Amino acid sequence: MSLVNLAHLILSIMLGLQDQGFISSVTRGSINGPDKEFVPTTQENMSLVSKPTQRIWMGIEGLEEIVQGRLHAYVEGLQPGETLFLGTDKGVLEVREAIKRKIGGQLLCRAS
Amino acid sequence: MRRRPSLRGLITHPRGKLSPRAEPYSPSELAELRSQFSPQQLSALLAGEKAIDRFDFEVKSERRRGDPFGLNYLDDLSTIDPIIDFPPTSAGFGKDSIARQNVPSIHDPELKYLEDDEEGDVFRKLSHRTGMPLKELKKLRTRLMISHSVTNQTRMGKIRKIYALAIAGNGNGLLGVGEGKSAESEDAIRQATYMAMRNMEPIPRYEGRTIYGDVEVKQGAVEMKLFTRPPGFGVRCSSHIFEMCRCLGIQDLSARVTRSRNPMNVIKTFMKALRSQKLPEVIARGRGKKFVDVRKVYYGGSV
Repeated sequence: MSLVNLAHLILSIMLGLQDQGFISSVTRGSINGPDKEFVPTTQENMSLVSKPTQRIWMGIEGLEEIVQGRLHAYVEGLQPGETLFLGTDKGVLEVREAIKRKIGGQLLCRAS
Repeated sequence: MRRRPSLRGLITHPRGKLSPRAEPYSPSELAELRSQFSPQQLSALLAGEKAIDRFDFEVKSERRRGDPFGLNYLDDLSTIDPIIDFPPTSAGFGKDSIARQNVPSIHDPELKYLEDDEEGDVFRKLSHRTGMPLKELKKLRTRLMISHSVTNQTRMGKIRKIYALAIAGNGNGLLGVGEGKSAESEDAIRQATYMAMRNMEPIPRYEGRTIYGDVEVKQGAVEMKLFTRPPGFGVRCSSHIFEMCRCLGIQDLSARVTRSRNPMNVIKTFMKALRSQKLPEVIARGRGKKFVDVRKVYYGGSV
């Protein structure tokens, strides 16, 4: 048993290898092992903020505005129950954690 | 080509408008506070006052200063002035504040109020079905929103009917939409009102005045965005949505209807939007997180 990253390209290669008989089974899982129940991924409640066509970084002042629900620098404010993840020097943090630590970063995605 | 004048001098930096920093409590003031509050309460109060950012409190609640209905003078509204204020009655400061002539009532046992049988029957059925007493049903705010004729072309000829759409609400969290169709307009309107009262459902409201968060919904060709607004904003929406808010009991709302604005569909889409609000309790339960209304807990509802 071995792990690979979950990506379309890699998944299709693995399925191809399985077809040819090099691998016996391909399942989704985590670093702890294969998933017992199939959990489908969904992108319904998630959306990108910083895109490859337009990267968006934000500092602490802007993040405070966003968290309070205000529009800032063309990024919509957070709705009640919505979260925003940013990539910072200290790794991927949730927006409120980043504000506590007083650091900004690249706004990766939002989930509601 | 004339160069437009620079606005830099006119727009002042918002942070410059803050009031002078409040002095920390003097020892005598602290002693007075200590006499009123327990030491834990006092430390919590002082920590709370220290934690709140003055910019948040003074500038971001800026709209209070431009309040058109606010009093221009300082007044202690908790006390009743004998000359200026209406005298309080046992019922409060309601409709009884205005002096009314006492009209004598007729105590005749044989005198009965005749009701229109059809209407009475319908109301009784509705009362039985909804479980609401007749008095409450009669108090409901109903409004006829749409009424026009619809035609069905058959080999016999054109069959013309009247279509009506009505809404009903109690002004405090209940709203229903009903449609009726008949050859006579009276009947269609009655049907629509009856269906509206029958279809009433409770709709959650934040603080009983606005919706929870911003809602974006699409139904058919109608794309609608509803925005939650602060207290005192008012219902700034198109006429049909405004009427529905009146019946429901929403006092602060903003709406944007793009694409189709067909009145019938806008009304139906608005109902769908109200139903699709994401309640904080449900989100918290789903994510296994604790939720706190920052506005209420930290700012006392003033931001």
